[in-house]
Amino acid sequence: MDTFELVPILKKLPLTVESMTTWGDWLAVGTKEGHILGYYIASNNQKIFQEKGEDLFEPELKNTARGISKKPIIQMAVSTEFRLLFALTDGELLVHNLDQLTPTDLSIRNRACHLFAISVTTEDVGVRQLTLCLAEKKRLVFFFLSGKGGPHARAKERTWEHLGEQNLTDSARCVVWNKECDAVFVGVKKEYFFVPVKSSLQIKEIFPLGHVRSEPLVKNVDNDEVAICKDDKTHFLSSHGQPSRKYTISWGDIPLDFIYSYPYYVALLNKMIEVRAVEDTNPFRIQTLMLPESPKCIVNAEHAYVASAQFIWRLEPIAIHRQLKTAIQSKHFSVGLLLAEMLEGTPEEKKGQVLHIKRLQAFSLFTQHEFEQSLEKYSQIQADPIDVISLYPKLLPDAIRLKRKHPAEPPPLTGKDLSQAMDVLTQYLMQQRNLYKEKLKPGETDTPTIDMLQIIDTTLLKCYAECNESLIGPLVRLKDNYLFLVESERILKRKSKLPELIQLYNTKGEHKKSLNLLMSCHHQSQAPLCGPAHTIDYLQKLGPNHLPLILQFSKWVLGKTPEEGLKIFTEDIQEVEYLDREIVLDFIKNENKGLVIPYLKAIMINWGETKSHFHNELVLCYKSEVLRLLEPYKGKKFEERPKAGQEPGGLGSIRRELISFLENSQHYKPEKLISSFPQGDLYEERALLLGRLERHEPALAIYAYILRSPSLAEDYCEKNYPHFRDIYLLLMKMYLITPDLEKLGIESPRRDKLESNMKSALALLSKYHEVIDTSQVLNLLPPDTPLRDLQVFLTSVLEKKSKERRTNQVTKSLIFAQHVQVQRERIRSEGTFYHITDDTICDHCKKKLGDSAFAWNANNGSIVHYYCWDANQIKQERAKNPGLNS
Amino acid sequence: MSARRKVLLKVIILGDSGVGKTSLMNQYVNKRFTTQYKATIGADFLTKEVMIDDRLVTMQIWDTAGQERFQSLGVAFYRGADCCVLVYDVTQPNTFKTLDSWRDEFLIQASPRDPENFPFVVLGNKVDLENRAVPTRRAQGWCETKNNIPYFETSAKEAINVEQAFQAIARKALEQDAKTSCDIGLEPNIPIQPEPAKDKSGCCT
Repeated sequence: MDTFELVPILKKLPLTVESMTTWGDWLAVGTKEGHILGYYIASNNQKIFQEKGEDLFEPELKNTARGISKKPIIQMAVSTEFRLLFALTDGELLVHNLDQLTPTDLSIRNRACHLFAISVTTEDVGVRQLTLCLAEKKRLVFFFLSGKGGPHARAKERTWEHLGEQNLTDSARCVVWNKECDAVFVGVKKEYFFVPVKSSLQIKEIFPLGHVRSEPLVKNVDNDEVAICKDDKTHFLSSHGQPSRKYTISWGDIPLDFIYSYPYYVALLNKMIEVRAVEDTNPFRIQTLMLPESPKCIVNAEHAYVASAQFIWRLEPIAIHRQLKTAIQSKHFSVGLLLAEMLEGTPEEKKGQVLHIKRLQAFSLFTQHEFEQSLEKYSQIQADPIDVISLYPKLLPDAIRLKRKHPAEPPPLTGKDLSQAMDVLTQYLMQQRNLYKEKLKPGETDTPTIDMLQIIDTTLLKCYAECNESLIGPLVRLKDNYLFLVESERILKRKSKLPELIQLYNTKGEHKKSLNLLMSCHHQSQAPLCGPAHTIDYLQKLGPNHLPLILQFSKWVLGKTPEEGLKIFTEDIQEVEYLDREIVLDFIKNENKGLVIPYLKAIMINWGETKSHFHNELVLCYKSEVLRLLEPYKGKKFEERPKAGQEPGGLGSIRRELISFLENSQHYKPEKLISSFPQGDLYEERALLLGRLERHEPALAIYAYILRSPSLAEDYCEKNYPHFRDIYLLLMKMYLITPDLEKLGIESPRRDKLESNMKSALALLSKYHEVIDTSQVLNLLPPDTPLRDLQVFLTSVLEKKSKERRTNQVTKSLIFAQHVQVQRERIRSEGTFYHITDDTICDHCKKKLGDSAFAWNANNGSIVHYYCWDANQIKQERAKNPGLNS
Repeated sequence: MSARRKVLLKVIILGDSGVGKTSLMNQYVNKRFTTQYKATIGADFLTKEVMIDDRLVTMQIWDTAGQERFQSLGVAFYRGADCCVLVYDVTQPNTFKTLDSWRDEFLIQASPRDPENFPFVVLGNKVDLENRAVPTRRAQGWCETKNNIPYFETSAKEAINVEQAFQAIARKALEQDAKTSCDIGLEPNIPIQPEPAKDKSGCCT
């Protein structure tokens, strides 16, 4: 591609060009004859376009310094900051004013120097310093330009100050300063060196020259890099001599001279100029310009010039937009980007151009199967993810995909390429997903952002389905996934990812679909969703808001495995705990009566259900069950039946459960239940209910006359004492005087007549005499009770009474003795007195007591003000309890 | 790769806010514990050198913010992790429940080559507290269903099991590191430095 064109400036000079230097629109030429010619080359006014390719520029010879030397001027340099021009000739460094080319006093004579280098540095804020390196034989001498006022001071006020010297192994052939101006890069015959200004610092070898005979060549590239040539290669070093780039430039021939003209590297070869650019660390030849005769040197500042002995050309860049066009055509996008930045135009236009190039670059990388780099570029320019997705086959519907414009048809991808590209795409999409999610405002539901997230997530799913199936699960399980349901459903079904489909339905709230699918799969024995366990698990996690659904789908599970199915309502997890239990209970009653008891037991055990409704219900269920199981015993005589809870089989255990529940639960309502218990059966249970109702008489009557179990009766009394003080007396009465069972509302199963039970009464009396009122018992006992039978009772009562009496006597005497002591103490205290006079002084504050209230300390006899005593008292109090506040 | 290769293991700690991720890391690396709670912002890491079977490796432990408002670490952050540590608080059942989503989040963000076998380690923290609410068997059960994730019950406060847990984490991470290094294959380092030796080619790269 074309980047520069050579435009002749001076043709067939009568003089021989030896050296050049340029600044701004100026060009200074040093000749073999010892003249310096200062040309002004203004591009604007004097750029005369001539059709036949003749002179484009009209150089104007403005200043000359004629015959300043008898020898050729071999090297020149300028400092625009100090307005000085340096010319090396005949071993002398001549320093002229830049503006008129008049000589200054700064010229260095009487030295045999053959090479020099200058550099200007910014040392402190705004203060610049000019440094100079002179090469004399095998020695380098360093100077700096002293004098106040920096570049603006007049040349007269300045002098060269010696900075240091360094000796080399050979004489220097080229030299440049580094950025910091504390060292120079030097080329000698066979080697390059890094030479610090301070002679105390060591000279470092960089590397030897190549094997092909060539002059050393070292040049400043940008501000902080130098380019060193070795044979036909150019290496780049940092200002401390470290390699700074990953590549070198290999020229077509050994370079004679070299410049860096942003963004190109330009080398002077034999009879030609080679231009190179760098694309992704790969330097490539971009243009070669032929020269009619061997060139001598190339210089550049604002403009670049090439000189041979009699000719001077300007190396004029071609219009940027034309360069840009060719750069893009030849896919040199990195160069294109640099050029786009140089375009004239508004920042927006530039930005647009840059974006365009980057897009082309990204696409080009994609076609070269550099997927990672390509997508990286796309994400840098914040390309629309749909554009990126449309690069891939089959990820978007054709209607959308074909609408997306790309520079060319995206490449067909198959096999390994495709899976690699997909892998890169998933990473890209994940990154985009995070970005779009950040953009999302809370509460947004229908926006382009959401649309984009839906496309991203659905595409991710497609990618995972193709290249990494084990990530499907994590994606569909994400609570905030934006997957398109219909599309995702299709993908998952095609891939037979049914568990993942269930999870997707779950996150999308499509529980009915999930459950239907689970129901239809449960009998496929090989399928991953076989059996009701999945449904149970799913239903357990739905929570109270979905109760109708839970009930609907638990039907088939309960039908299949009632015990396991019941866990839908009893598993100890939060979602299950908060289901409405009344509704669940009704449902279970309808579905399977046998599950009611396990359900009620579970809610009471797991979550401590206390509602009386459930407790009543459980009692009734137990009751019905017990009655059902009691059926076979109906024909038997009451006396011949086994005791409650000791029946064989299930009846015994269930009856024990009922009795224990009636004893222990505090939440059932006995008044509601008692009417549902049958008369003439379940006496133990009835007694317990009566007990809860505090109807002790019928309860005790059942124990005493129907069950005829003194031990149960005693247990009953123990439970109710001392809450009901006279409970034992009541039982005594029950034993001694036969009750009217009918009056008490009890239907007796026994045919025999009731008889009072003197034996049990007496046994009770001897065991519990301490808690039974003696006088009332004596009244109750029939007059014909043999005294012998009462012996135990009476003896113990009498013993107890006399013991009580003696204890009381002792207590009385002790209290009297104490009373006497206190009286004596009172009399003694009243006998002491103390005289208070006008002069009596408070022992605490040492002031007169005066009319104030006072206190007398009985222990040490001291007299103090009452308030002194009071204050002291508080102080002591505090000392004892530091935590107390006043 | 050669045994002399310098190993840097990237370990990421995830879990709900307040479960003790930062405390665990601090206890392990600095042997310190503070009762003051300070929410982590973004992510931060500490490194520790660990000996595993006579091999010295550097473990880079990334502590992350559990709070949702700080969570946008991005793909780059998760990528290249060698082990992911999931932490929950044994007294807070909700922090246990969310382990599933933390695991999912990690997997899709990091998208490891072999997600099924990517090493996770679960830590049930704060076992020093009395009001424990997540039974050990429940946590172990969960770990078993996820391809037998190693499970540890720790207390950053009392330094219970912290050392053992991180030793296991380092071991898992090292195994994973070895696996992924094999995937990449042997790539000799490319020297950038021009050789000062007097070679014949004279070219440095």
